[in-house]
Amino acid sequence: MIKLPYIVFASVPLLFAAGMLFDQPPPAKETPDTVEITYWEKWTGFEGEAMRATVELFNSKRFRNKKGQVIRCRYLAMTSVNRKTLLSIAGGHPPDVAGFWARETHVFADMNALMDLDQFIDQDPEFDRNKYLECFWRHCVYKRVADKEIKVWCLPTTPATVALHWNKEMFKAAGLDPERPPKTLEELEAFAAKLTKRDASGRLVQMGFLPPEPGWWNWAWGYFFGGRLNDGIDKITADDPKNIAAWKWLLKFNGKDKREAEDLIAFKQGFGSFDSPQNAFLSGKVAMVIQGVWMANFIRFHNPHMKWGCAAMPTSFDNEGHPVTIADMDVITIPRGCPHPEEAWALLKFINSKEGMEYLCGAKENNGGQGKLTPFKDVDSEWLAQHPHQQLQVFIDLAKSRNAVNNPKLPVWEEYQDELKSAFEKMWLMDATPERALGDVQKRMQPKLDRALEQLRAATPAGGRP
Amino acid sequence: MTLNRGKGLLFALPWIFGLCLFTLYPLVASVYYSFTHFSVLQEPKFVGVANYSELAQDELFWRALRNTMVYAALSIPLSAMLSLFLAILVNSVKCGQVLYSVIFYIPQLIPGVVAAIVWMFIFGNGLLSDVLQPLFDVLNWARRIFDPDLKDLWRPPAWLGSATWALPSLVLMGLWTVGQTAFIYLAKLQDVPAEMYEAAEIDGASPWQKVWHITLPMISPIIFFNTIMSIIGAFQVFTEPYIMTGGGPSRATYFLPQYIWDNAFVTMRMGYACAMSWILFLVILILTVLAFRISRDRVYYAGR
Repeated sequence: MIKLPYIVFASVPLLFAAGMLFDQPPPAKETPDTVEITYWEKWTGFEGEAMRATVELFNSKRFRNKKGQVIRCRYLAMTSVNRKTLLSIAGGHPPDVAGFWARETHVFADMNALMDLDQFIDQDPEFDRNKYLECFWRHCVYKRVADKEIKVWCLPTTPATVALHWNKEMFKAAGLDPERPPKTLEELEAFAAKLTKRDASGRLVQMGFLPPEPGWWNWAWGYFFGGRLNDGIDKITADDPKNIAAWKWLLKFNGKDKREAEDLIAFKQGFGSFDSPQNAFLSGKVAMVIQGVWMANFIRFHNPHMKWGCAAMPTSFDNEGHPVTIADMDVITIPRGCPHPEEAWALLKFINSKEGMEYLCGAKENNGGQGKLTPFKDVDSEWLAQHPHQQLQVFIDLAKSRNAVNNPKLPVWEEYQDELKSAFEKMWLMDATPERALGDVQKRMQPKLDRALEQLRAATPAGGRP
Repeated sequence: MTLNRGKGLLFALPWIFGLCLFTLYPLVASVYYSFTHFSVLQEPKFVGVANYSELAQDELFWRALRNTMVYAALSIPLSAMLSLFLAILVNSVKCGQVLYSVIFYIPQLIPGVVAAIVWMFIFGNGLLSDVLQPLFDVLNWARRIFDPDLKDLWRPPAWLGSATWALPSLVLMGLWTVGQTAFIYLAKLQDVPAEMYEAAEIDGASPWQKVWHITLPMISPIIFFNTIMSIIGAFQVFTEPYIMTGGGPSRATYFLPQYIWDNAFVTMRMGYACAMSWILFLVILILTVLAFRISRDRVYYAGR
């Protein structure tokens, strides 16, 4: 006679096995009147709340699909959303909408992880591709290695450009005009020298300009000197003379010897985390930093009385009124194999409408939203007037610049970025000259790119799974 | 007997099932994947030993492996000696043993991520350098006696900022959790019969002779156990370098587990990452077998 506990114990693996065998996508919460879609995003905190409120606004509009069902979106914030989404796509149960960073979308497109959006755009007369600023639209389109034509893979959620931020109080204390940012690289050097201070024992207390802070764009210094990281087709150009010139210029800030360079890295490691009052810029440890449009939010939260300004970062060449900036973006995508692509498109389209985007990026009724600019060419003057970022126009102008650049769309971009980061540290610590450091990157990355392109050409995207 | 075995198996079934599904299957699958090009989203494509031959030529792999070996070579003996020293110290005091044990054990209770961030401040804000500065002042003063024109003054290193010192800094940081091993040593130390020490004292043994001839042989099984565990732990070091240095500066603290992680989950080269995991497994296996060989005649089991 088999007793109950044995049956319970034995049934656990059987249940597992049954679950695996009859694996089906979880039934969508679908009634004759409503259909629910899921949306995975990366943001937490105020940015997450702004997006959640935008999704609620979408829900309140009660959009309907072709069957006449009301579309409801369920918003779920999580960490490592990119990895989790990729695994869910591989497992055959992706969400209907997923938020990524623009810099990785082309890699996911090559992996056959995303649905192309042309199929929706072509059938939607209301959608206008031309409303976007060029530097942001470039992020949305990509010609996959194995494809012949360019397709749209994502749409913007919140775009950003970067600018030089300066601390006006520190400028004043150093005898500089607090209202005047450096206009040339030479001025920047001179200002930085005046703004750098040491204590009686010789230890650094504040830096005028510290290129590795925050260090998120160490790959991009060459652009301010007119350099490029690839030829747009199949060649890496890390050792472009202009990139080398940029790195040589950076060496003006790393101290007089190896030990001072090390001290600067150690000085940087002692800074608090970005989103805290101990942030190097907010706590007055570094007077000038390159930061994105989001910086104003963190200043508002952690040091609201701080006096600061932002302007285009100077360039080594005459940019003819078109300063260099890095245009980056958060994006939303429709993962391949999602259960409700049509309804997912409705959400993407709403967020990319004037109403949705303005609400998300900086509407008063959404507590100032994410405090960023919109990706559109036309900016509503009323919206701009009530926007929490009082210097937003600087970032809008930068986005309109013809020198607004994006990261290279290479299948090996993550590795390339890592190599550049490591080479930057080597150069900074004087373990290699800029020529040698960038030359090594070139030597290592070109074969990696060749191999990746070869593999992608051999794989037919349509033959992937699911 | 047969009935009992059947019942035992039945009770163990959920565990066996879990083991097969979540450990054994991934283990076997990773062998297969290590011979494929696999990006998770596309069907794995069999490429033979291409991943392994690429590994052989991958500079970064060798760099990461070398860093991991150096880390292990520094941290395993250092932590073993320090924990044993602490345990013997605590065991020798007459009162407050519990208090000391608790103090040594506390760092173990702090999550790895938090500890890493705290140590970033200790290294980065000059806290440790400030503590060490007087020592360097004395050294420089002594050097000045011989060379009055001395210019190149010695200073504490730049810790995580220096490509030379970043790895030793991580080893140093790892030492603050020796309380766990010290705790295990202490438990075993208190198990050593007091009459052995008494007999040794009657024979006129010195404190050092007592440690060498009684304490160490008696706790040798635990030393052996801790060594094996630290070999495995040292080769799997991930959290601290990932948070504190991200593998830098200039890859001085880039260890194999992080390279595996980067390949598997950042660049999605699952097949390559699997191949690397197997190499790491082989390294740990060889070292463990070596440890067993070396210890065969040196570990004393009282029960045998």
